[in-house]
Amino acid sequence: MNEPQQVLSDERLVEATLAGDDDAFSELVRRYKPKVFRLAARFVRDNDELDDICQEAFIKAYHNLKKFRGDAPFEHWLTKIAVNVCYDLLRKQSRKRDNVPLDSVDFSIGKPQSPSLSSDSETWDVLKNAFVKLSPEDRLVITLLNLEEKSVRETASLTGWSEANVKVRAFRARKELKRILEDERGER
Amino acid sequence: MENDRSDDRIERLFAAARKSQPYNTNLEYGFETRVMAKISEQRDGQKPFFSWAWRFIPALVVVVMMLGAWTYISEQRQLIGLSSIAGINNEETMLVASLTGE
Repeated sequence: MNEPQQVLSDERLVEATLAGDDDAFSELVRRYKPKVFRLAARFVRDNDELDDICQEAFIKAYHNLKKFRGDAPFEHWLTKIAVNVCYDLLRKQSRKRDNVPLDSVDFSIGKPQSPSLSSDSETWDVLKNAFVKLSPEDRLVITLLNLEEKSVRETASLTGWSEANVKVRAFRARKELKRILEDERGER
Repeated sequence: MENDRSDDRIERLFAAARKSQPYNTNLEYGFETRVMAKISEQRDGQKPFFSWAWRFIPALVVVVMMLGAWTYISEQRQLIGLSSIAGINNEETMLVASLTGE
């Protein structure tokens, strides 16, 4: 690859990667890592998990690069992979939670430990604690629609659900989230 | 009324969450290097079978030698068996000869 990578389009970088140029894929990773990190951070529990999940998304993209046909922008294709990886993670977390024996549950009272940086992140922690009690589907739809501000159509395309399904799930998820937040308030 | 209040609360929480930085950006440092290292590690692990098949050569040599030894030993045993049968036959012939006075 002779041209400087900064001026190359995503499609050219994909072609170069498929031709065996690993630097081209490295450039794609550099270009899109902030977006993938930001999205994945809405679903993970800690920094290690965030790093793992982002790596998994990019590695999956690398191995499936032949399937990228360029019908949609690379960014959208990559986001779809990242959403799928995050959804799998949520389902794994949910299965683990269901199998946790009572004696290993932390019953400590007080504010949960978090890497808070500001009052906004403290608010994010409140929401995050409520999100843990949501089903993976509810959490995914709320995160994409309300936190990532995707449209119903975009959410449908990213999740592979129909638009009607997204709307129904979003309505139920919001109702459930409200109930969880009210319950938490009542407990305090 | 109560419903409106909880809707407001959720909207405020969403707005604050959108504004918050959900992760430490230091994590991004050297990320592409880590990803590429993992990819090349996986690629090395998926080499074709003939690139690692040579490792089985010593074991294969041992198996061939053991098979050879086993074949040789079983052949020898067969020969001993045949000669002993031949010996018995010989004794019988001598006995018959002495009895018949030949």
